Amino acid sequence: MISRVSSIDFVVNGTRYRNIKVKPYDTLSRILRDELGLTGTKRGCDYGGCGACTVAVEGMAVYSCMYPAQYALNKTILTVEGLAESESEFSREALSEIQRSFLENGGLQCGYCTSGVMMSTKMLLDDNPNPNENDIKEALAGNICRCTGYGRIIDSILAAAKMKNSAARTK
Amino acid sequence: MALFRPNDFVLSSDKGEVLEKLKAEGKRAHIIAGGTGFYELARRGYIPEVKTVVSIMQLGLSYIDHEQSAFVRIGATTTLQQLLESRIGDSNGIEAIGDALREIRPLQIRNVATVGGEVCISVPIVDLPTALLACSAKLTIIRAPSDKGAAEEIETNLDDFYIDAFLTKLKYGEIVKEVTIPLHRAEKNSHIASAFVKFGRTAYDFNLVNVAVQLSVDRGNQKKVNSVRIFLGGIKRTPIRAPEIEQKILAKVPDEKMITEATKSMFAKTKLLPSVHGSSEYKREVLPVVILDCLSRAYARAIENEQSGR
Repeated sequence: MISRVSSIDFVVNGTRYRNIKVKPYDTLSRILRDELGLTGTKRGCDYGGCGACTVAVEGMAVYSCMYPAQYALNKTILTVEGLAESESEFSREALSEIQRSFLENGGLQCGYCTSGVMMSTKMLLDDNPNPNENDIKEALAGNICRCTGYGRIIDSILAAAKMKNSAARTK
Repeated sequence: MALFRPNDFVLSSDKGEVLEKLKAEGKRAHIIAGGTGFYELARRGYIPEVKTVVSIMQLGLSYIDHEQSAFVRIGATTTLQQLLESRIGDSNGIEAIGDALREIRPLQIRNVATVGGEVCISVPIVDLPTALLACSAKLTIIRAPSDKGAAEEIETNLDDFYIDAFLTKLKYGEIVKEVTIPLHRAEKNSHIASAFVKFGRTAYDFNLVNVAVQLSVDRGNQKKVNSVRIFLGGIKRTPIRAPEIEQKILAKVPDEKMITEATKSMFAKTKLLPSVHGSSEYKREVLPVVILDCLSRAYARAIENEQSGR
């Protein structure tokens, strides 16, 4: 049946949103930022060149700047705001291993690309808990950083993997 | 720059209604699958006339069917990552498909971009069509019913599909349903293999040139090339076949000198598609190296297939 999609229901970071109005030309990044106020997802190039807008849709990394908002209908989305264990508590302990690792290893400078890089990291470590440097480079192929030179980002991801694995062992 | 401001976004699970909508709206409607290419064109102001976006993602066209060993059928909305993970692109004879999929980066694109989208967008910078062409792919197209008839399916060779950049033989009211790739096309006395090689500025960039080769090699001691299909992308507005180079290596064991001379002679007086990242002259220098690399890989694979008894 022909269905004109003008509003969507979806789950973002564990919260169910209903009847969010979408225009025919809306992409997921605009809805996340302007309608839900989740401005951790950045708009950089706005056509799939930089990776700053990377989010997870049903556990898959996508560029939200070129993902039709209508396709998010009934989907589960994870943004950088959903990485931390608590959104309201701003303490180091409340951060996820990935966030803490970037903080402790200097994996960011201006920070604009960081939310996208962290989301790509999250998807990588979910798939492959022990990535080597090449796995990381492949996973980050779609995330551009103009400050760090990538070295410290790679160090941060290797450290995050260790942190996550050690946390998993102690649980 | 003209703003992209459609009035309607249609998601439908009914092929008939989608076809009718596309036929009725003509150029005011645009098919969208994954949307990665579509939104880039929209942002750059290339499709301001589009008033209705028609998604085909709910038409049930996401499948990879290779139950019959003679060919594999890939639904148009199968994502590039699904196809890559299926490993079907690594099968004997169509290894070029797997090579091309691994060269399409990043993962964020492969997770969303579809096989049908790659085929239909018809821009020189994409990779999969070159590999599909070398592997003799065919398309199944669904056409909106005429006034009295029912919707019909037609099959066409991918070789005949491309007209120009952004222009294929697809008409208003038609959608690509699936891509079919023949498997195990080796003749009785030969081994078949293929390869794809892309040359771009970075591992993550679009191609400057790409090459795909499928060939069969004589099973005996001589190891001569029995048949070959060579396709080149990024050098003209659509992928092109290289019959002059094919003729030079048929019934021979290819060597570097033969391939380089054939390539140089084919393109000596031809202007290749320039871009800000690579002039015609630059591409003319690069192309023989990429063709040689691709042919060598395909040939080595064919020999390897023979040695491993595949």
